[in-house]
Amino acid sequence: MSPQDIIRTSIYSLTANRLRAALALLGIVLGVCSVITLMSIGRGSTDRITELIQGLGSNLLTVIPSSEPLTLADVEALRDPLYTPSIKAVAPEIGTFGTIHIKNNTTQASITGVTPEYLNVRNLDMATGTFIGAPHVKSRAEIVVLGAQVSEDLFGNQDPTGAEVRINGRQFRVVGVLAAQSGFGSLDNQALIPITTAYYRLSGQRIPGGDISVDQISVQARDVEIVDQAIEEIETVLRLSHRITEADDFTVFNQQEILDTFDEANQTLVVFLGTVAGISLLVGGIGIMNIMLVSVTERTREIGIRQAMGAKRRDIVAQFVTEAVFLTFGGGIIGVIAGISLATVIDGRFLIGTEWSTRVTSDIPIIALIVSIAVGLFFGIYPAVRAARLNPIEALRYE
Amino acid sequence: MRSTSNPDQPVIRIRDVTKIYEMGAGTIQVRALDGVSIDIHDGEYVAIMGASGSGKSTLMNIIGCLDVPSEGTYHIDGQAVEAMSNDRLADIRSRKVGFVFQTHNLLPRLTALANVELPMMYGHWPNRRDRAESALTLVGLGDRTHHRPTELSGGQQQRVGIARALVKEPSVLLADEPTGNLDTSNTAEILNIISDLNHENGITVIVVTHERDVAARADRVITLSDGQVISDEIRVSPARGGNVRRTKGAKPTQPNIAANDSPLTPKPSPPLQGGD
Repeated sequence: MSPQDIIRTSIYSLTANRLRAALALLGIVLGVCSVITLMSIGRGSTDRITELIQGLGSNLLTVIPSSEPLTLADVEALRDPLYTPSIKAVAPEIGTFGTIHIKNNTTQASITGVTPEYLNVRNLDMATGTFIGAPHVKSRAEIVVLGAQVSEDLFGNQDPTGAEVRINGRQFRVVGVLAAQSGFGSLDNQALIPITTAYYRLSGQRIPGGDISVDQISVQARDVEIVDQAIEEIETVLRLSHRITEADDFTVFNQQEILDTFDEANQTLVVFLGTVAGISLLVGGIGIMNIMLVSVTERTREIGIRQAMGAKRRDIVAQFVTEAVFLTFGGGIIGVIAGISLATVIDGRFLIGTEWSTRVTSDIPIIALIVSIAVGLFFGIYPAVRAARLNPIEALRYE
Repeated sequence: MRSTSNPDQPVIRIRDVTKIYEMGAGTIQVRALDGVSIDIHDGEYVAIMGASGSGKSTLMNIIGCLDVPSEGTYHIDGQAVEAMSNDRLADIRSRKVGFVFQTHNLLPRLTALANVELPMMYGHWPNRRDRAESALTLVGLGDRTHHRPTELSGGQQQRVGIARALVKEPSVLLADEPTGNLDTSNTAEILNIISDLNHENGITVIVVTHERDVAARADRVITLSDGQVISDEIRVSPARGGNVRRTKGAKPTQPNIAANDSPLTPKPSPPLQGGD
């Protein structure tokens, strides 16, 4: 049998029972469609996380204390360009939780004590008003910059600049509102106050020597390329000022490391989603096998006739395997089209409480098509071999 | 049509063929054929008769290379079939045997033309379409090539079946109860076509039947009972007395068959002695 004959014969057989072929196909369509959609979502969320973390600045380093506290003295030391030529800006912060309320409205928010550098180091924008200035820090001013969500919760759409709020019972004046951000690491639900105010007015802890302890220090390197140098400079300065001879009492985090961690977690998610989708493709394949087995039984007489006409075993195997592969490949193509369409439609939309982001790369449909052909081959072989093993005499007698 | 190296070599040469079916996991043995020897020569028109259970279907399956003998030898066109693999058997079927079935066995969704092309597809023949068209023309269906079996009468369906069998110029046209499902007029029509193919085109024909009037068309009638040949009669039809092929086919060269024009004389050869 020539390839054209095999293809023609398979099409002939498949068109014999169109509804059944279509239903068998549907299993593969759904499987391939879900593979494509889920993998696109996986890719999209990887992109999104990468984008967000890079939005924070890939030249951003974070120093957190371990056994000994970090203090504003450390911050001053890090700001000395003589010792830290690779560092552009240093922004310490103190984090705490608090209740913010106005006359008839209350909300919970993270209250973060910061310095003026915080705005640039964290790539923030102001929606209205001004940010915390150096004089505010110096005078321990009771002023606050609200995150977008906090502002909306308390004041709705009104501009709160100049309004008075109470944070943990103390009165603060709103000087500005941050522009809304989105997604991961958002500062929308924060309120920023001068770091000195946070330390002396809100935080209960004190350290000996009268210095101000901070929870973490964000350090901005001058350039992405010199991040490693910046890390070395930070370590040198802090070891000197802490008089460290053995183990460090602080840790420096690189933004890239955080990125890698998230990337790894996300890869796991993509593999998991892919597996789930792959299982549905497998179920589709079992459906194909089922249909092919029924078809072989139903067409026993046809097989007998073909054998009497001189069909060899390999001709019968070729015919039935080709039918199965046609089903899965056809289902694969429709599934690819459906999957890409679905991924495109949901991209950037806000559905079921999440903003979806998808990215279809060219390898996804190619893999899906190859897999669908493989599914057809795998699940088509057994029914085909059963067909070819039929005894022609009995097959011809089959009613 | 086909070239047989030795004109005296029989197309079908069956020697001491026994077919045993094992049933019930080998506990029961059924001897469907028991020491059958038959030679059929090029151009003969042979009817194989027998009641059901006589072994004629088994014999037909073996002649048609759908089955192989348990014991004995079978040569078709000089090729020994008994040791062949399934694929070789399929190959022989596709080139040397043309089947005509009782229930025509056409594929219902293919046109007459495509049905006739089917055996050539498995035999890798060139010019399939032209050959199929001329075969259909030969059986008088030149104007029905694009009809499907359901759009044809019973007799026409069987004629498509015949066209399908003869299109590959087989060594033997093997017809199993070809008129079993047909009414009287269609029966006559089909038998005429088969006779014409034998007389005018020189095709070797073997008809398996239990009907006497179908067998009466043949030049030679072999009767089976209980898996044995009980009679092998060669008839001389006066109308075709001078038929060369028939004469050649009837030549008493076969060792086990004594040529005898008397239709009722039992064959005296020892292995075939069955008596009736």
